[in-house]
Amino acid sequence: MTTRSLIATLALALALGATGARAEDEASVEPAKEAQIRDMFVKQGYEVRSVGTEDGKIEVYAVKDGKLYEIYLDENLKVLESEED
Amino acid sequence: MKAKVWDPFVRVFHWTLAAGFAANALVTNPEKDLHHLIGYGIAALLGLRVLWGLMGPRYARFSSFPPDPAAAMGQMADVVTGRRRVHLGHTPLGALMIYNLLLTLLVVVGSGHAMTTLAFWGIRWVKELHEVAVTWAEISVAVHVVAVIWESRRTGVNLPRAMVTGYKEVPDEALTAE
Ligand code: HEM
Ligand code: HEM
Repeated sequence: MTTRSLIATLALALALGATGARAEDEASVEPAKEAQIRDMFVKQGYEVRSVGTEDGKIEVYAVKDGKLYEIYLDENLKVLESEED
Repeated sequence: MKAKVWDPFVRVFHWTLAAGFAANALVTNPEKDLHHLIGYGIAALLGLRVLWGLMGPRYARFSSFPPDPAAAMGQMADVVTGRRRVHLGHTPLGALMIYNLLLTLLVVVGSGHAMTTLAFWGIRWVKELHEVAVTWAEISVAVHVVAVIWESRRTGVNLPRAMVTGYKEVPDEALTAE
């Protein structure tokens, strides 16, 4: 292989690899559980924007008093971390 | 023949854009400030490039490389028939790729910024738009790089070097076109 086709192959592999590596992490939460989570936050005065998962944790995007929150929960819906953006 | 084609702004624009894109697509953590900072840097570069495309020097102007499907077909015919015709500015296929990249990157930075605003915070389709646009940009960049290498070999003009030095060195026996 010449240097140039090597570079071309690497560029392609890099792009496809980067794309593939990102595809796995977005599992969804079961509807019943999601409803329970939404309910829990709505009662605390949040507007829930979306519920998903990230790195094996449940991830909730919510808004309260004009502030933006990203909240991580474990399987038992215990709050692990609440980040304000 | 040696022709001056890329002014310093276009060259600096190109390599900073490429480095910034690579950093955000492959390295930075999207939830952190650095990702956003680089992203806004890219937004600024894109804005400047658009201004430069309207009022910069000849080969930097959009009017010197309009989207032209007929000319793009002509370039493909050159590839197939083995005719070596060198374009001094952007080639017709290159021009289409450039508009594709610029527009896709505008979607990337626009959706990226939107994700951090009250109106679009946590709205799933905005995040998906950002991801899809990034993926499309990555595929486009891969095709862009392969095409640049391919065309350099086919026409005998080292295009990446021209993007560094600003000069295209055209073999004497080649036919030239705009
Ligand atoms: C190793 C990687 C790369 C190489 C060797 C390369 C090479 C080139 C070359 C030779 C041109 C001029 C094409 C012509 O003669 O018409 C060009 C133009 C361009 N490339 Fe790249 N490129 C690379 C990566 C990228 C990346 C990552 C991006 C964007 C994310 C990008 C975006 C562009 C744009 C927007 C132009 C148009 C330049 C202008 O007129 O302002 N390139 N590239
Ligand atoms: C060319 C510029 C950019 C590139 C290449 C880029 C690339 C990426 C990539 C690869 C992801 C990961 C997607 C995933 O997790 O599946 C991402 C996510 C993200 N990007 Fe960008 N981005 C760019 C610009 C921006 C800008 C300007 C902003 C806003 C300031 C931004 C904000 C974000 C946010 C908030 C996320 C989501 C993080 C999360 O997962 O919660 N990006 N971006």
